[in-house]
Amino acid sequence: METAMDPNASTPAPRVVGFLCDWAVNSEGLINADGTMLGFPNVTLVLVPCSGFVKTGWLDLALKSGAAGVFVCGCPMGDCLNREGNWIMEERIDQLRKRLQRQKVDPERIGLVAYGMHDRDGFVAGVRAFVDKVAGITPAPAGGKR
Amino acid sequence: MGLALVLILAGLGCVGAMLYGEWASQKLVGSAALGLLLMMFSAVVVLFRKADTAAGEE
Amino acid sequence: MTKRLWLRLQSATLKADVFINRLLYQDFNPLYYTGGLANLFLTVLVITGILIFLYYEPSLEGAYASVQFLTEGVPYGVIFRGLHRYAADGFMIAIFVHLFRNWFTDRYREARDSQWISGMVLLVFSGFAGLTGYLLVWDERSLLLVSMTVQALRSIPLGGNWLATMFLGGPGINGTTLPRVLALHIAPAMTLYALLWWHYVRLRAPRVWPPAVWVLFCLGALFFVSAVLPATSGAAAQPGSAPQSFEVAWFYLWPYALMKWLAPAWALALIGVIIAYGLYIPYSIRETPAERGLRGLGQATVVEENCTGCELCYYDCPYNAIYMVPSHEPGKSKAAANRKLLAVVVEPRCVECGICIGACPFEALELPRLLDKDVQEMIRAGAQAPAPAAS
Repeated sequence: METAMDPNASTPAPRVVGFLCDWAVNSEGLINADGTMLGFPNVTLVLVPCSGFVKTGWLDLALKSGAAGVFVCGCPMGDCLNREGNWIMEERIDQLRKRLQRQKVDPERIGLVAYGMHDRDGFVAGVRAFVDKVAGITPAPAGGKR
Repeated sequence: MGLALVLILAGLGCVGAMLYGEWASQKLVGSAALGLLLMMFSAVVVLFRKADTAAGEE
Repeated sequence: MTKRLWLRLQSATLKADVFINRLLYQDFNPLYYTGGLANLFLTVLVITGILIFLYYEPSLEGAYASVQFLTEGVPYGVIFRGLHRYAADGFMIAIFVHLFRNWFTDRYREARDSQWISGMVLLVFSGFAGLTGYLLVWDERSLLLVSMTVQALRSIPLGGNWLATMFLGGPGINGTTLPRVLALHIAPAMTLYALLWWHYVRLRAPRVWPPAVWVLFCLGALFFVSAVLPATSGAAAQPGSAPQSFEVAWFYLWPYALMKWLAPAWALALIGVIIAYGLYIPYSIRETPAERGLRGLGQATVVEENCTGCELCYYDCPYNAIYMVPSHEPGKSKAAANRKLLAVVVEPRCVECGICIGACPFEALELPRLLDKDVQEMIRAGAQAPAPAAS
């Protein structure tokens, strides 16, 4: 698997794993059969019942398994269907970022975005911005180095 | 900057109106000025917040 | 047809959120704090209400004069009266925005029926408290409203006359009427706090107060409006010469306006039907969970051998659906060997959101149909798939 991550390949689109809340952006027709996002073959979406469901361990696991970045998409802050989910996630991600910084991993590899059910265009733009940001982080993918 | 100046002057105006209202027993004028002042305070809170995020993103 | 209408309403509500978020900051969005705004207005109502109560005299001869004295003789009395008057309007507006927002965004179903039902009872009590407030001023309108109330009560087939007598304290308006109305104004208002406890009891960390920017703005607007449009009374009530029309304050007096078109008995029946339908709303679900887009992941289950009794899930569960109970035997994992507590999921409260799973660092909670190991597999597959060429 390490070979696929060759940083010297001609600017490969970075592998990104995204967790998408069922109640945030409507995922109907947004996901290909293999779990990747429409128009983003390098982004794999995992549907979760609430952004608060995501364990920080999973974010860590994604980076350790070779993803260049991992993001969580919840509903707009304050608008979580379960009231608290995305605030809780924000706090957990803050703590995980501090932990990653101590491990010399760029905390920018973890993202939290928030788009409502009908804001698919915003979501697609947000994912694109995140992928571009992750692509710019050196050294490219941290995978397998820890 | 211009907006801040306007808010400062309007706020001073409101304080003036409150003092006048108390002095001339025009309680309605004083209360209206107090209401305006509080509403301008809320605008100031938004401006504070704006300054805060601008600093955070840079 | 109706389903499409509901989707439209839901979409419009969420779009209103997004629109305001573009204008203002997300954490200042008033639509996220409608309950807190209602609470703010209720607090203003209680504080100004206590001050007004100190001046009010609940007697037929003294009531009107005492309100006039408060308005004209007491320094800033007119402002306090105005604050009480306009905060009541703001209260109703906030309550209705709160109601419709939660209705249209589906936040009243299943585990949330307790909040919806308590909210309906709160609405009835606040409406009633507001309505009796208009009677206390004891101007011409109050007199007319009292006679209309009595007329409506008498029209109830069984026990109506008895209710009317209880309301007036005798066969007609007499010296005990206004103390009764005062009690009917203050008692429901105080009951609101008991009902609010019910409203909050299943919520972890309910957001009960709006952000500072809205506290300042609402207080400012209340002061401003009370000064620009001072609250006034009509002409003093003269028993025997009730006017035939009155100025309708729509937030509270619409039931009386209704009586213009409907016989009193039918107006009362209509209000009863509206309240009954309101209480029925959370149980009127026709679609199956799958049709509503629920994936049926199953309620969170505690993996007992791994639970360490650390209480993290208990603090994070937004619905207070996890209780910590004393643990009588140690868990199997090393971390759980010395536990004193064990987490238990209260199933009727669980909405399958999985927030407790994210909270648990010990793999002691699972959603039965979306297991930790399956998610890990998806993550590995996504992270390790060969990188495609740049698009």
